[in-house]
Amino acid sequence: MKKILNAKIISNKKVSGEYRKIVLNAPSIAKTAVPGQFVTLKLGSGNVPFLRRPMSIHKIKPPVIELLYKVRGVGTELLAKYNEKDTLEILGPLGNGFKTDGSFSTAILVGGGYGIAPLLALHDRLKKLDKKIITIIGAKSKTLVNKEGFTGALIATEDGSDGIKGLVTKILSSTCCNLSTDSVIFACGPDKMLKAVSEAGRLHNIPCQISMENLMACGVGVCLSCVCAVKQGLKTENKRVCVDGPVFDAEEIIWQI
Amino acid sequence: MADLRVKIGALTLQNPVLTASGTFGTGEELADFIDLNKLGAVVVKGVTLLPREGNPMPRIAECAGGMLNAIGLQNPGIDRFISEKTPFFEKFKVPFLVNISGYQPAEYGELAKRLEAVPSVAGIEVNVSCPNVRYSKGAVFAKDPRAVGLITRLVKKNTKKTVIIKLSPEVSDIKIIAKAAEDNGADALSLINTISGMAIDINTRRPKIKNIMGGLSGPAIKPVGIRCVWQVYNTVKIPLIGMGGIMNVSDAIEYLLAGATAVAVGTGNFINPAATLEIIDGLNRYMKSNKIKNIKELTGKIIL
Ligand SMILES: Cc1cc2nc3c(=O)[nH]c(=O)nc-3n(C[C@H](O)[C@H](O)[C@H](O)COP(=O)(O)OP(=O)(O)OC[C@H]3O[C@@H](n4cnc5c(N)ncnc54)[C@H](O)[C@@H]3O)c2cc1C
Ligand SMILES: Cc1cc2nc3c(=O)[nH]c(=O)nc-3n(C[C@H](O)[C@H](O)[C@H](O)COP(=O)(O)O)c2cc1C
Ligand code: FES
Repeated sequence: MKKILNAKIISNKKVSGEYRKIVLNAPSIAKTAVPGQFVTLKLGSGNVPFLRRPMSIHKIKPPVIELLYKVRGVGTELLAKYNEKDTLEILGPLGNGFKTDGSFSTAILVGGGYGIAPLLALHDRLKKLDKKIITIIGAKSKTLVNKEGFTGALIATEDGSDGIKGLVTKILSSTCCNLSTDSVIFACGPDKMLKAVSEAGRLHNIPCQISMENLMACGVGVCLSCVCAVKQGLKTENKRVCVDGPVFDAEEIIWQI
Repeated sequence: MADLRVKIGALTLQNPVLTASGTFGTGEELADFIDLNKLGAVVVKGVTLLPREGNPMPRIAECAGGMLNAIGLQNPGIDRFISEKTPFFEKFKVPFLVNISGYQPAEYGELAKRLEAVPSVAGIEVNVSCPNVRYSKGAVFAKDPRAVGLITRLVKKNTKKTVIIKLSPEVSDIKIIAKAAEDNGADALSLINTISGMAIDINTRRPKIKNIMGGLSGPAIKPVGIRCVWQVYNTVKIPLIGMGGIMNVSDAIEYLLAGATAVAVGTGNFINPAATLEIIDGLNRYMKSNKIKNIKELTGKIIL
């Protein structure tokens, strides 16, 4: 059940490169959240920024949740200024989350930029389920890679400053070639990356769940600002990323990029 | 206990706080936060005769004190709306008002006829003012008093339910349009709809929303809404539902003082899904501390 609560901030610090992590005491959200879900934040007390900001749940450790973010605009700048013991108004858990109940043995996690945020919660869940996990992290350069919490992550950077030089799909293709068939790809990142990962999944016949990050106004399914085109039988339908997603089966999506 | 009841057409609402169309779905999505039965009424997302997939993405852009939207009336069409959405209304005692849009005047009549047959629909709000939709002759009905009059007549002819005409502020004289709706039988007026606007990303040089133009809503438009309510209050006798930028109880009281009988919260629901309930509590407190017994004592009571 979705709730609005004033969460006490336990810490809000730089973690690695350009990333920061905020740890929140949010018992009712932490209790029911599943990996892939998100919360929305009301930042500041006035009209700037005006809309709530969606953030994936990075770690679920009841009564605590963690969010991973990169400062890049008015909202995240303000978020970085919150101190320990301040409270932050959050609403969640929102969205559907990743499906982990299948009978697969290997999970390939692919994260681009801050898209790795929801993958740590998923990583923790899959470890409990005793799945083999391969993590592939992509970013523009080294300072945008956050591998904290992921063991043995494979890295690709566009400028070659960390791991291999190139895109995550380069690692993904070679990984997929050596895999047994009962694997699943879980991906989150920019649309271009998600599209390329979906295509790699299809090529290697590996099912793929992707988490989308469309612009959102309400986050709760009432405004229809966040939609993406999804196959419905022979038709297409605009589905809401905030409630019908953010996680979709890659095969459903009709890419418009 | 203060009396918050207001009359809109044939309906007596337990309080004057409504939801604005397109910002609350059918209420189903928000039932976790909000006891819908505490609201004055729920006004649901706009519906058209045929299904519409809406505009391409991105559909919104944040701006100072508000947002632009070009959703493009995405909806499943009246048939699926009635079969899939209206059964939900039956679970509540709060009145549900359905917002309708059309491309030809006759479509409004047809929509009213279909909804007349649904007992759980308490009334109809007629959107003649959505700036995202281009009508056959390239004009928006809302700008033309004859079109607004004709649509009002057609809707009234096809339903006995309460009919509310929703006005656009983007007209040279809103008083003329309001009068046209009243003269043709409107039970009440909603005002205002969004104001068309535009925003450009200076790095990509592209419009921030794919549709190029969108409707501005939120606190940025509140002064325009207050002005429109005040002008129309001094022109017509039917009740007004004021909206545009209401975020909290003081915004709501401002609309009442300008002449509104009731208010609707739109974009404010996105920032605080419980805004409507907080406004109802706030009205009770304001009335108590100002010794006002009946909410009607506030309508139009601006001191000049
Ligand atoms: C479901 C979901 C989960 C998210 N999870 C995270 C997360 O875990 N960590 C994180 O750092 N961010 C996440 N985001 C994105 C985050 O909400 C936006 O980055 C944030 O709104 C930027 O806010 P700002 O005010 O700092 O920047 P703004 O000033 O609003 O924008 C700065 C730049 O970011 C771009 N931007 C804004 N919103 C988005 C968006 N939704 N998607 C892509 N680009 C955007 C703008 O176009 C602009 O170029 C998520 C978004 C969604 C929809
Ligand atoms: C995302 C969004 C969707 C809307 N959809 C509709 C609609 O379908 N029909 C309608 O009459 N008005 C629609 N509106 C207009 C609102 O009902 C309201 O008149 C306007 O937004 C001003 O109020 P606000 O500033 O409180 O949002 C929409 C507004 C928004 C922001
Ligand atoms: S953000 Fe409003 S419907 Fe998804």
